[in-house]
Amino acid sequence: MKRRLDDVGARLNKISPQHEKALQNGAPMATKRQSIGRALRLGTDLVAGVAVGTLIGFWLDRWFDTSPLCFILFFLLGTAAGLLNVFRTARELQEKQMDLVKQGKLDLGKDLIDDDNDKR
Amino acid sequence: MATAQGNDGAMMPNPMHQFEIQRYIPWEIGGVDVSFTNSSLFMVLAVVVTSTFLIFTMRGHQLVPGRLQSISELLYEFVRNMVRDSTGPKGEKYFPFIFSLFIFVLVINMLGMLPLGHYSFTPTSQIIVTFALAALIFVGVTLIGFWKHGIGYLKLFAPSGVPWYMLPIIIPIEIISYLTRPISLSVRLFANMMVGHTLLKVLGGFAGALGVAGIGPLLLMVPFTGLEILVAFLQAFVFAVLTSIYLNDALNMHDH
Repeated sequence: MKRRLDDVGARLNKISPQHEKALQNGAPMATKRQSIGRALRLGTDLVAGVAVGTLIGFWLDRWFDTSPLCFILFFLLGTAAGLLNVFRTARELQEKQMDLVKQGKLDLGKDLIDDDNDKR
Repeated sequence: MATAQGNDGAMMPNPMHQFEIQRYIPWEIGGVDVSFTNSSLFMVLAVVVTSTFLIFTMRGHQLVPGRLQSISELLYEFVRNMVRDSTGPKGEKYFPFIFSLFIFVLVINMLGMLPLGHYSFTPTSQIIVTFALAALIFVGVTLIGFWKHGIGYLKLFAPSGVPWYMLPIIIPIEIISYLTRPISLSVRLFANMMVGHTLLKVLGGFAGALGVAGIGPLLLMVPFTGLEILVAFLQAFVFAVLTSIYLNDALNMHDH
């Protein structure tokens, strides 16, 4: 039993570098799967920002009796927060993809390479 | 409700009936309703099914896994890679929690797809269930953040490189953005599950009510059922991914 285990261990050691390599090549697929997950966040993140901001404004108005000052202010802030959420998610996605493109693992086609000189 | 049996006539089953809570064992403690409902039943079922499956399939713990053991190991590795990718080495400690969370939501979603007629129920289609999960995660992650970084965790709300005169605007925006986490986390799961199940029920109602012409909606239901199974999986995945991303923010603050 012990010999058999050692045998399997030795064989695994031999195989695992190849396996790791194969996993690395599979990276774009894994990223695609994660991208679906992240893309699904965009919509709800935007709406949740507006909703939370508006609710906070509504409650503050009720507390301090300042209607509709806080309501309007926090509606705007909430919208900004929602946009910030979306912006962050989108930037994360783009950075991930750009890393892969630079490593030559993902081909987006010529048009999608970042060539607009925005010095990001 | 009587409408549930109305398939043969022109009457349509109420598509919202499937979301109704039924008390199986009515129970009240100090004015708080803690009845054992169909929602509780399905959550208990999910835990029992998961535990039984994982313990049973890993019982032999063969070095070269059989078919069932492969499923367990596949699940384990799938979640483990996800946690490692999004939180790095610091997050390894929290892997058991995220694994349990993912499997729990996944199994609940999948159990909800079983056609059990009158008894079929999906706890994740109740906003309070998903919100309780999301609130637990939100409070937990915030506590971990303060525990790891002390009061410095508040720097999350004031990103570096922002000029001081912008701070009065930026800080409220960042705080609201942080507070949206439990809302978007819970609403996303709840809305996806509820909408999908309602749609299936409405199509099913048409198929029953239209007689021979009902073959149209029936055919339409086939791809939608497949889609709903995909959504059930994907939403469990998104829930777990987001939890590990929030955890990552609390553990490695510098990202912001």
